[in-house]
Amino acid sequence: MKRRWITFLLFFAMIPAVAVGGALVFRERHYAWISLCVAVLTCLPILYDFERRETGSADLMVLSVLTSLSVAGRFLFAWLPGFKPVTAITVITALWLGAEPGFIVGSMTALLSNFYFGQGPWTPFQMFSWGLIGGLAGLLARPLRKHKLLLCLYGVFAGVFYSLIMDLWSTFWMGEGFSLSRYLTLIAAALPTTIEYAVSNVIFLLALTGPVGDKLDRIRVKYGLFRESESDN
Amino acid sequence: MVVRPRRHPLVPLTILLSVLLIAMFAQTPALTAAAFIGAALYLATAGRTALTWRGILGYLILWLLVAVTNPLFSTGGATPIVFVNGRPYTKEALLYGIHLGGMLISVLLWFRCETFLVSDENRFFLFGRIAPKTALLISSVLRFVPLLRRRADAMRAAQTAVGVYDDPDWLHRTKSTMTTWSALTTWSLEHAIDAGAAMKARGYGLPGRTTYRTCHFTMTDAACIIGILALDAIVITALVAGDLDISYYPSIVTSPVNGRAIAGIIAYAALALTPFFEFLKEEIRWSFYRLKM
Amino acid sequence: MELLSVENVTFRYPNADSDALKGVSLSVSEGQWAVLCGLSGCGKSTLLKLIKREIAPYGQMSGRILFTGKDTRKKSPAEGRNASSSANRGDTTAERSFLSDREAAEGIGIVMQDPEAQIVTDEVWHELAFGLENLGLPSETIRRRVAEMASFFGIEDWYHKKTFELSGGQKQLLNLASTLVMNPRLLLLDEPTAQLDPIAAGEFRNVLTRINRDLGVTILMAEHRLEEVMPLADRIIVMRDREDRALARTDDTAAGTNDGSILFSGTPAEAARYLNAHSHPMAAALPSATRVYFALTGGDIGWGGTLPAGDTAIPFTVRDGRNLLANCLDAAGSRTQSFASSENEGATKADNNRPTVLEARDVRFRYAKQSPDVLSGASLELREGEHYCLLGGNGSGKTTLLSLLAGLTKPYAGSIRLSGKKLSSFGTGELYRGNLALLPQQPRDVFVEKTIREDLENAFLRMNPSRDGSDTSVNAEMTRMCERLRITDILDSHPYDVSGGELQKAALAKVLASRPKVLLLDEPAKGIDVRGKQELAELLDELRDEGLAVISVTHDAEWAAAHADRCGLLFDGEIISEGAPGAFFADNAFYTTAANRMARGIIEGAVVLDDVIRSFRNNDGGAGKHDDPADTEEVTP
Repeated sequence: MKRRWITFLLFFAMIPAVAVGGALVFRERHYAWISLCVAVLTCLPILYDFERRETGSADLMVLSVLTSLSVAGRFLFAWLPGFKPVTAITVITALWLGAEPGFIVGSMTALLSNFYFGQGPWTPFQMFSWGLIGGLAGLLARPLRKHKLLLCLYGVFAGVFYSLIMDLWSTFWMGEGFSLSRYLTLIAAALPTTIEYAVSNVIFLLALTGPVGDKLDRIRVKYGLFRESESDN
Repeated sequence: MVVRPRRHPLVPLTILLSVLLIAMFAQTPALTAAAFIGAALYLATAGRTALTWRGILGYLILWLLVAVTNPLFSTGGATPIVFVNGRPYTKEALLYGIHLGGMLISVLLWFRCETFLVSDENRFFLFGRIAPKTALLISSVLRFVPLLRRRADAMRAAQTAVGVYDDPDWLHRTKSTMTTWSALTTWSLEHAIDAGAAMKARGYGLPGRTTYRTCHFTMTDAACIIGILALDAIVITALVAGDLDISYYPSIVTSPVNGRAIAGIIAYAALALTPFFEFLKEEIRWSFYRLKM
Repeated sequence: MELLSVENVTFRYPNADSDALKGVSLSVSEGQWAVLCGLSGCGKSTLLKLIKREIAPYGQMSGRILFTGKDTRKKSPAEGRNASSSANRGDTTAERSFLSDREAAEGIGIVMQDPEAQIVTDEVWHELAFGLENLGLPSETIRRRVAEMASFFGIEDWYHKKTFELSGGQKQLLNLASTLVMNPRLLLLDEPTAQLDPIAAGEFRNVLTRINRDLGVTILMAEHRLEEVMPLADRIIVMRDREDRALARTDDTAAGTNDGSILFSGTPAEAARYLNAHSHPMAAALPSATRVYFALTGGDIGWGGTLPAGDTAIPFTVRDGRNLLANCLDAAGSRTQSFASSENEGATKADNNRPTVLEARDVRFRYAKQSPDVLSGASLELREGEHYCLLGGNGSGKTTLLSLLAGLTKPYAGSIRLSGKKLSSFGTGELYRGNLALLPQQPRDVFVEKTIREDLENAFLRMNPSRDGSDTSVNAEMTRMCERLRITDILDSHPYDVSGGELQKAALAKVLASRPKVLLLDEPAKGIDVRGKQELAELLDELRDEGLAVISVTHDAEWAAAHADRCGLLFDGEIISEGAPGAFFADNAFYTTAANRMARGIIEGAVVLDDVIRSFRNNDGGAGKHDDPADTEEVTP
């Protein structure tokens, strides 16, 4: 436990160090550089912790299957562009299995779906934003599970948050430095997509939370998964 | 087909990361040009399969878009070409936009090169070393995704035949897709349990996991990596010293050309062109080998 | 020394009201091939999983399972402490008597039924290496062992393939190889060939024979089809049928005196005798040759001849069966005899006067413009009340044809008509209401709800939107259907918690809710035990009496021969031969039933076992030609 905290602290000390160091080298592009550092270095400690923690084989496979469902969802709903269950699956995972599994499923979906849709400098940002959407949902699990309205609001928030982060990425990468007018223009241009994200998130959350949650409960009870203290049957 | 490179996968990876990071953040047209030429040459030869006319057109449009829109937001330049809504559309901003677009395209091209530089197997070998659990997760997701798509088709067929997809309106269709999705989720979770049992049955979770793949890190590999890092150091020295600086506003000013700058550009060009020359070397070696037979 | 010994094991699942296993004692010695046989639900899978402790189910277990003399239970902390204190005194026996994690993972391998579910990684080579990586062996050792195993199994050709590209048979071979690569001493197999087609299943068994004979690996296999494994096994362990407590009577056999899960254990010949003598339901799963032998020696059919007694005389293979038949005829003084199949044809329900319900004309299909035809002019005609079996090898286009007939995919040429109307001209919501129903290969694909009941209720409501304004008539109809299919007691279960046969019946109830004219079945006999098959066949017969027409796509020649009115063989995109099962199978040399292969050239025209046995009755002057058809029907699978 103690070691875990030390590594966390190390990582958090690393973020500013690397960011500042890089900014000295890449003067004009320091916004892009720092944002990349923040995205990568947020994902790293969580992945590191996941890597170190003992996970049962079935737990690991459940995470893998949830990630796959979320990746495959990008294909299954291909006939409705913009309608993707990624956020819903990530949030449901977080609500039922915890913040870290939520983060893993979110960020891994970004990484892995880009194997099919194309990797690029945006990958870390997608990992970061979907990961955070999952992680945050895990921290807010109790109220979100209790109130449908809050869950819907969270869906809207997730759609807007994702859109804002990706617009920020575009601002940094398609222009010099940070220009507020460019950012606002991008946000305005992406508004229909943002609305679509938000609406589809709400629809998916409303439609999937009940059934998928039940299924997760079922396997959790039947096979005793995701019990922190238990290592074996 | 499996290509077993003679070099340890760390070598191409170091090249890739060096070129990419500098291409992403350095602000020098010469470096951007070197990155672009290196990637373009490599893709045009070794990675022909990745290039389609549509893809190339897409890159060009993106480039154009970034170049043309930049002056709309930056008005810092001193030489207006035209006025848009009373704001100057300047030459400097346009040139900067061209540079920026070129940089973005180079980075994207280098991401495409990655597929050919580091083979799947080697990527997972490296990954499996650093993060075995995440690597296993990725490996099993890559298996599940095609499987799920196949299962989804089968389930959709089964649901269609029991009349779930009967109504044509989109609301009903969405609902039906959700139904299929729900069935798919149940199936996948049960499947995950079985797969988990199969993993456990084959000893997953025992201490001291090893890997099948071995890549011997030879002295040559070490020398290669030291060489790459030395080239990196030359470029970074030039960058830190400001020898490669260029400022676009109010008008374009480049730092005076000096030895460090030239060394930096040459070093970076060497890095960016290495994959292409390596490929060329292999081709020539193979042609001679064939001639001798 | 015994490699495995199970000592008085009783096991109960949580919240269950009866024991899944009771008083099981058995032992398997090194190098043996033992088969656990019993109907689904008898506990054979549970027993295998208990032996393999990593996947042991939750529940209460008493008794001990010893592997190489060590307890397979995981050492509990209390026992661990005792052990370490005794180790301090230099006495390590307590420590040694428990199997370590490594020994357990390495020493016992298991291959389960579903080929897909056991694969972990995305590439073949990685899958093979996975277990050895877990054991933490050095890379060189892993590579050598993987290489050896790949060449032993002939995997080199697909060593670098992605696992999802493999066929079912290849997947199961890969599962076996990646288990064996860990050098287990005991291999547990849970109906490993249930999901494979006959050719792949045969290949799989050949490999098993090699690893048992050439490598000396001990095998404990759970199986409910004995036709092929009986001649291979050294020992058969008969398990009690879950539903049939009547067998618990005290009788002369030593094993019969207890009420435990294991009824009998002995050599294949002894077990065959036991099954036959006690009319155990598994007797119907015995090899055809064995069943002929018992029918002839049993005296029930009134055949006058005598056959050698003794265990060695019991035939298991087609070859031995042929010898038996030839000897019988020699004794009767003739070389061949013919079986009049007219009797068989008289039993068919559909005659040519019945109206055609479904007709496919010159149907052609391909997946993409550039790809070759999957179907190149397939035609078939289905009459009311008829059962048509479509046979064919892998990749012959059977499943494609079925999905075309179901209107799920469209042919690029040719036409398919249902009651004279083109499938494509059926309106939305029309085709799957009162016309067509499809039972998919995986029956669970039709279920989406938490309980079978909810699913059925939805289906019945959807298909019969409140006929007279109330739910009661719909409910009554559903209740009737459930009673008829005998699934009333599983209605509140989750679709994944019931056995394959039960789930199939529940799925049938769901697809029949629409009162179809035509029922399409995809591999209905796959993975179902003898009793399940018999029940399904009886049910289909009943439905056909009411006019339902059935097409079943199957690999199972025995199923087709016993239950079809007509059979068709699909090959290379066309139906190349078609006919009543008698004529159809009599003309086939390989793609036919074991009974037919056995009787070929000896009893002409005999296709199912019943035919063979009846021919002897005919031979005997027709004394009992028609007196007791029920008696012989029992022998039919």
